[in-house]
Amino acid sequence: MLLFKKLYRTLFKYKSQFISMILMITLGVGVFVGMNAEWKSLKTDSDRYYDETNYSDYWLYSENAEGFSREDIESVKSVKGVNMAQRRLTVDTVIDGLEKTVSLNVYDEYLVSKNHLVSGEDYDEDKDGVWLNDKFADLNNISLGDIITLKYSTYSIEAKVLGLIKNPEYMYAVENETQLMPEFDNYGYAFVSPDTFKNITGFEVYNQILIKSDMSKEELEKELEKALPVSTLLLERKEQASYAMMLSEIDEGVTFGNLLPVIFLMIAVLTMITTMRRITVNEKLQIGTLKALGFRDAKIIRHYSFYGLFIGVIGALLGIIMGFGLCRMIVNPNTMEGTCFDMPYWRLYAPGWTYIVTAAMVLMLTFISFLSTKNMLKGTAAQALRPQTPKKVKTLLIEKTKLWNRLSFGTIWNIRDIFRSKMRTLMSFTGVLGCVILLVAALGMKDTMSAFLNIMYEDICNYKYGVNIAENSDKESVDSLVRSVDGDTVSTLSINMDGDPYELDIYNVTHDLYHIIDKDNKVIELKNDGAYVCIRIAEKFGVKAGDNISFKIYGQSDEYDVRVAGVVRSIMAESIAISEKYAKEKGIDAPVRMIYTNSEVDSSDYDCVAKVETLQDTIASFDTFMQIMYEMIIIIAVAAIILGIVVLYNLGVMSYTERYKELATLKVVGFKDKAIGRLLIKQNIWITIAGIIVGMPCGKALLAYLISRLAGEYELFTRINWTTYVFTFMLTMGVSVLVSCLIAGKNKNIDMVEAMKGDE
Amino acid sequence: MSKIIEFINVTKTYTSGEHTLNALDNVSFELEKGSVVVVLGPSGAGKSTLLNLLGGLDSPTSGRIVVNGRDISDLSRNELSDYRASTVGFVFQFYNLIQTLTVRENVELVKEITPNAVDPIDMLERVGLKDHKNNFPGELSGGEQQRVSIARALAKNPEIILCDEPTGALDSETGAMVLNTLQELAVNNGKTVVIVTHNQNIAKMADTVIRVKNGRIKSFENNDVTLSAFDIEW
Repeated sequence: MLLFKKLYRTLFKYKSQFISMILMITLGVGVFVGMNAEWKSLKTDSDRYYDETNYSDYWLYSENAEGFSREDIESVKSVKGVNMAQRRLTVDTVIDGLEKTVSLNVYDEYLVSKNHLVSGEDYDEDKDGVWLNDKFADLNNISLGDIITLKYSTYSIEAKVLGLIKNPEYMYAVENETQLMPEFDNYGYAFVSPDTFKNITGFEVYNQILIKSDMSKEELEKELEKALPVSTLLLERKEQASYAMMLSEIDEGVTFGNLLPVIFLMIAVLTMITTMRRITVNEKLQIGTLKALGFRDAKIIRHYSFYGLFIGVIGALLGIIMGFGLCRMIVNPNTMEGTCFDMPYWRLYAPGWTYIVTAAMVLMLTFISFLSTKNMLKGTAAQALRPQTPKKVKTLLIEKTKLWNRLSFGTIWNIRDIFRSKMRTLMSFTGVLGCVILLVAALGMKDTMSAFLNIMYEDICNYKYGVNIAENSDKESVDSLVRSVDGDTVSTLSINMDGDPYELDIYNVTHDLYHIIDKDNKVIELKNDGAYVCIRIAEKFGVKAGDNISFKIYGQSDEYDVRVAGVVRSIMAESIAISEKYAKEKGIDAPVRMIYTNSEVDSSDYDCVAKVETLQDTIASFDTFMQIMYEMIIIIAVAAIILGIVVLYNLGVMSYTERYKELATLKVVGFKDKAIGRLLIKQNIWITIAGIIVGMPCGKALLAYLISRLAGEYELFTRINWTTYVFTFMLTMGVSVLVSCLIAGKNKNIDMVEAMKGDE
Repeated sequence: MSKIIEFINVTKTYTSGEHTLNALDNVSFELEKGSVVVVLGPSGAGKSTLLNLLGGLDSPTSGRIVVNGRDISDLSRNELSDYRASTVGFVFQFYNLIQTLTVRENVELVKEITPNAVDPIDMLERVGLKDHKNNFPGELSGGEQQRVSIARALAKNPEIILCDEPTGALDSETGAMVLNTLQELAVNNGKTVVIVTHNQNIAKMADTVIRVKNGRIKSFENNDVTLSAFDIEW
């Protein structure tokens, strides 16, 4: 068909507009699909992992040293609503030769929270050997068949590595809560059969019960209280680090996925509407000619609607490809998410509705072309043939002021042009706005995280070494160690307030090695007259200094009533801080968990020391965490800049095309190329400045919202450095000027002779 | 009278693909200062090319064009811009006014490019449009718009005024008014006015008539008697 030839040639004629529209849609759909595929993939892959391994629903911890007896497990199993239950022992061991911590698991039965086999033999309780985490093994050059020795207390468990495995409970494997990021090479986990363990140590103790049940936590707690004689602590999935981290990562993804891509998608669609309308206006004469030649309206409309469809389909397809590419950068066993999670499955999935939204967008674009063409075809063929009458220019209010007469002609021209092409101006403005919002939010996120780490390491942690105390250590020897190293200490207890677990931290910080900070990140002194609750608890319970709160300690029946002395910022756990002296007054006693000191401690010199880590080590693990953040931020910032460039370029070309004749006139009259270039750049700079002014506070608001959504995990605050504003300003301005120069460069090629002829 | 424009063996060749076309083929002539010159010829004869070369919109392939004693055939882009800004004023068939600027602003804009600019209001008065100075071009008739474009050309205070079919889009009455304005400029102000047209009748008001065909000059005549623009029959 001849019209097909025309289609091809028209596409060529408007190639820069069509290419930029396709780019816009690719970018919009790409970010949309990519960000939603990120969480969807994590969810689908982790769910598959949980299902495959029959991941536990509840964890029951014993509060006494004897753990759970055979009777206990039978009672739990007989509780109505408990589908499966199994005992487990988890102890921290040290792997011989490497001196790294390996968490050792012993299951009395193998039903719940099973392993995913990577290589070697599957777990078998009749076999004598050890099943080791594959990632830890790889990073420490341990292979199948090697003999490893795990030291626990005075025992040495020597066994052959029979299989390399992954376990969902260690998907996000951190040794303790001071660590933000897993270090797969420093912390591993292993499984041995109950017989193997018993043969070496001579005892059979299980400190946990894993339960599969469909009951709610409250119901199950009530039932277990009836069934068991001892006090226990029941935790559900979301209170377990691996599950909670994955859940919050998915939640985070949903938040980002619902917010950021909308900005991209909206700008893409809005730009499309403007551009498509402008193109049909430019094509009005062609449209009229076809009509005059006798083509039916329907055929012409179909022809022009096809442009929208064509651009939409190409853009959407490229966008989906880009989305999955983007997603693969994040959801990847070797990069970003891979440094957090140890999972066997890393397949990518996009939510079904993202395809529906994408398809709807393509249809909408087609519909936009349809409407714009229909608009041009109104009335008779003769009317259609007439060029679109330009909108009447209205006198603006500011023209009545004295100032107006003193403005240069370029300024007047640009102001009138802005008001005449309100839609186009609005689009450019929105493009800049989106770019600025995204840049401020992304860079602000980095500022916030840096400030957060700064506070952590400059204000809170003032020590060189953190000494982890082994469980069940002798109090005398711990006390003597504290004295000999001039250390500050913290003890931690799990407490129950209104049915939810929180942390009670008892501090003895007299050596200025560990600090507590308040809401404004100021270091405060922990006085001996009450408890300091963290911001999240203060908000949840609606308490302030002077109020009272009460809690129970797990494993004890007494209820403690304490006065709130102040509100503090607890960066990670939801916790209450009290001084050791105040704890004694209230009759609360707990073993020291950690000693902070500036003296070097050799862990092999003391039985009570589990591990010594330097502050530097801990900072290094945070750095990994930051690295992931940076990569995320770079992706968003790059996307924001591309967005800015494409929108501004597209609209710039449009504005240039529309003013072509006027520019040619100026040139004929004697304006130099540079002077005309300056006119064009001027307008873009105005719009850019307006976009920046509005965008900066909006970006700040977006950041505050994103941080508030993440606040479940950490007690964060928003921080945007002035450098971020300066950088955003310069980057956006740079983009704007660059695009303007590209377009201004075109005026060298204005054909004055052609342009002076009449409208064709 | 002194000579102001000199074409010496001017050739302009357009090449597109394998085709070459001599729009102007070895053309030479001289024009007097303060004369009204009409260039006649069928479409495609090369008359617009002649005007474009004279106006500095384009440069010749070979030959020399001397205006006011200055050779403009080898000027750079910027030098050509300066030449257009200071020496020539253009009037086009389709007026080419800037729609977003008022009548006054359209004329005023030349102040940005030439120090010789004269008062725009005076120019508007001269073309009889002073009362419309705050209107936008879209609010004026075709003849009025064309007179605004003449005012704009005049505001630069150029030596030469170049007109490409200035009455092409106008009815006879307004056309005569526009031509009269142009004629007065030559007679009263000593401007050289070059009008390119295919309308034979306009030749009657010219001091010099150049007929062009196939890129060559077919005839070059000086009229002894010229008619006033209002006496021309259309």
